[in-house]
Amino acid sequence: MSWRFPILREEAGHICDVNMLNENIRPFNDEISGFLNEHNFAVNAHTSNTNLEHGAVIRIVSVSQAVDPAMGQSNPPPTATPADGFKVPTSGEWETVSITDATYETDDTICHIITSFQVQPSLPGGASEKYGIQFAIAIDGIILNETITGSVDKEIDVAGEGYSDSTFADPMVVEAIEPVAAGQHRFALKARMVPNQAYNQFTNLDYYMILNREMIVLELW
Amino acid sequence: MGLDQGELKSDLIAIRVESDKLLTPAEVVSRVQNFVATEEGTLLAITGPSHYLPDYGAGMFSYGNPHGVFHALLDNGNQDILLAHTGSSIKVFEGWNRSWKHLIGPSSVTPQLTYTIPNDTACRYPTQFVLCPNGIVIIPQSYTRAFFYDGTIVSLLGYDKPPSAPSGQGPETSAIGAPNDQGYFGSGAGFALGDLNPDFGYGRLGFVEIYDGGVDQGALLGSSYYLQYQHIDIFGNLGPLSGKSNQVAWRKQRVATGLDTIRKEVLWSGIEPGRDGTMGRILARSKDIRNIPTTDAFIVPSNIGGGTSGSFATIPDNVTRRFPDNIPDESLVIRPYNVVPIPIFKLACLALGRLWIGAIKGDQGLIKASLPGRWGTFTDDFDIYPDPAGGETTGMWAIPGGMLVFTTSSTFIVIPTDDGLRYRAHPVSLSIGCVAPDTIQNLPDGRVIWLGADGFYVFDGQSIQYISEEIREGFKRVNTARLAQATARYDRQNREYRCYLSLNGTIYNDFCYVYDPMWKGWRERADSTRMAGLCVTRDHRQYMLGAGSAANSGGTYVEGIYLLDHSNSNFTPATKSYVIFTSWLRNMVSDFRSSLKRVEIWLRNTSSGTITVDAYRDWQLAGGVADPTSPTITAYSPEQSPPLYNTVVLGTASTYWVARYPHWQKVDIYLPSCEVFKLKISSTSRIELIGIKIIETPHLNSGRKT
Repeated sequence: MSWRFPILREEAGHICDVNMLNENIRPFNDEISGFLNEHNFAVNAHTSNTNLEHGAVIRIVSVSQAVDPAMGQSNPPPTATPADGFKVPTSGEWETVSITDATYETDDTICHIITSFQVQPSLPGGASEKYGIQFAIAIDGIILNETITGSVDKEIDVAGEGYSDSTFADPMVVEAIEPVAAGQHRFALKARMVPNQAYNQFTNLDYYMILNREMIVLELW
Repeated sequence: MGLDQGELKSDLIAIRVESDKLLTPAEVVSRVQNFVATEEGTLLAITGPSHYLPDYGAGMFSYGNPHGVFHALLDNGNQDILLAHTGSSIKVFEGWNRSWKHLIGPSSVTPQLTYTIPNDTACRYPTQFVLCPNGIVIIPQSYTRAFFYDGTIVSLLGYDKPPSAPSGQGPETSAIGAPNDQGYFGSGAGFALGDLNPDFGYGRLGFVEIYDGGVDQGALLGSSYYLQYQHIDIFGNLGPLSGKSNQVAWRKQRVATGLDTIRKEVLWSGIEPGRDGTMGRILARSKDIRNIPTTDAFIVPSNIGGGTSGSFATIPDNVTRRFPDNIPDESLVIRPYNVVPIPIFKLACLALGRLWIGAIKGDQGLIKASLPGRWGTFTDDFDIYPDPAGGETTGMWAIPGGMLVFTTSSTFIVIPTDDGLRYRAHPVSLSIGCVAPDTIQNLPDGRVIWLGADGFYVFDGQSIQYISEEIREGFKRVNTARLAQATARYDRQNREYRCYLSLNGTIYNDFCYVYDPMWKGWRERADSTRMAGLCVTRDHRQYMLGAGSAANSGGTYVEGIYLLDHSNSNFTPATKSYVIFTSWLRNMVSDFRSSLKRVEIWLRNTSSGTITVDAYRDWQLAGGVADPTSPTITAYSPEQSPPLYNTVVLGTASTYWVARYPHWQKVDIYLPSCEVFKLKISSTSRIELIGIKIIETPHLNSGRKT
């Protein structure tokens, strides 16, 4: 807790009172018993992580996968399916993007979940937006509605149900701040293929690849 | 000590509280000034105050006129918030910066929220703060907008105006025989009036009838729609509904084929963004008022899937001004709250799960209740006028199962109705009220205490009692014109109720009445402090903080946020007078005379200061009548000098910390042949008093007829 003060300022002429001495010390004893908070530390008091025990202020969990998207190898770019990439299935169901998936134990706290990744359609650089894709963050398998990219409502989204991309290795970020209860939780990036505005049938040649990708979970206090 | 012949010695008179009455028991004295009652039953000189934010070398923080202070723990006790309204701004304490941040104020102080709030020394209630589960309602006085602060974001509380009405576009008819052939209707490229993007799909609005003659033949019925909308802010507060838009209507349209494609969409525009803090707009649209027997508006879901994103509002942003509406009537289910603009008010209280507001500008006798959890959202459903006479609400206070509501001359209790759907008020007293809302507090025994027009009252759950009979005489000195600005809190550390108010015509709350529920009596503080607002921290420290000013050692009043009952080296307050006036002793036996011979002062060793004893006789406070006139004693035992701070020499036998021990000292002071006498025991040093004994010689047969 924030600032503590001794009760009595000892002044010349006061009797050296052992009880008051104890009274004056007790507040500080209380503070180091676990009531310190942000008011007790000056700005920039801790400029190095070495001053803090791991997990003392924030705890960070991160997972990542590096993928070579073969940029610049040809023009137009190749329709690559690199080995470490994640191919989003055409089933229309939410699928967990591999690697961007972590399970660990948290306190009763607030988590800041940051996912960043590159997404690439099967025909990058193509002229038309043939099919859409959606992303979302899930905690314990529950999709956070507010993180879904796109609207799912064709009537009010001219791009169809989801984001439609024809760019080569397009970078994207989806993030959320969400309270969680104490216990073990699974954080994941989810993706699914969705129809475009014309509701065209998917073919085997239609897919999205998730390339370089990372998920960071900050456990805030 | 032995007694001479004829002398009588009283029992130890343990002094705790005071009374203005002429005839009182000896232990009830006429003044106890600047003492607190200790756990051991003694009276100890008060100390402090000290600045909560000391001068760390860069100069003292500049505060300005003090108006109020408030402490709270938010976020399940994890966030420690200290707010102060001083000068032209409301500030939040930043311990890590050793400073205050301007939260609300004029642009000149670069606040988080720019808003001009009152700043003068006029008689007003202290700035009111109400702790809610997710933040703090801040109500500067008087009659300005209220604010809400959640520890990070500060915003106006609620919405005080409805947004402007939207406008709608739909199909239009150019000529008879060509219904709905222009306007916002058709098929084609682009996103503009007159055309619809084909990607929007088919319309969902309107009703069709099928003709018997053909499978796909029929007609679109003529329909009519209107729209309203309301803002929603980051705290979930709703604004009033806008006015209704123009009606979007189309004519009956027959088709020989493509009946499923004939229904329409509409476009709503002019949906204005809200003030800062607005997170979205909730649209409320009528169903087809030509074909459905209701003209009510219903909340429009953000999409027909029920909302995959931003489901708290139809438009989950504060930017968009247009909404292409293809939500069918069957998706309109929930009616919007009929929210009224939040009024300007002076008082608020969280009770019965709602935020109640009172002293409403233009309707001072009305109290209103918010929606649960939406502390700035009000409807007309829970309006109450507790006082049939229409008196202005002057206080509200939550009690178990209800809420007390005061006017200056009456008290009511608000409780839920038997069906639990509404609230009703019934009177507790039609003659006793409250004049200072910031003085209402809970006592540890469960009673509620407050300042009325003529003193202090308590409510025990059944009835109201007057508890300041003992200080009625002194209360005449109170500046009644400024009673409204009085402020009080119950100090849990010292277990006493402190009420600062204006005395002797000053404009400041420079005097403090102290009620001790343990001893059921009064003391007073006159320690050169002026407190405009008080709070007790809601953490384990239980500090009493005051927004006010205190005189320094040079006698100059310095404004600031003060920590009471604590002292430190950064601020030296003006010298205090610790004074006890006994009552007129012997008042019940004054029909025969007596001579005061000696007084025994029972003390605990405290400091090297001195204590002066003065004596007065026969109901007259004229000095210099005793012999000697003003004898003094030391505040410690002269027979065994204790080690004194800054005096004892390190390394010597007397250098040790001691437990201060009690002792008594004799004071020879002579007042011959008195009917009654009074003693004044005073000091400017730190002292701790246990009691007194009186040694007198009664003149039972002095020759006078009795």
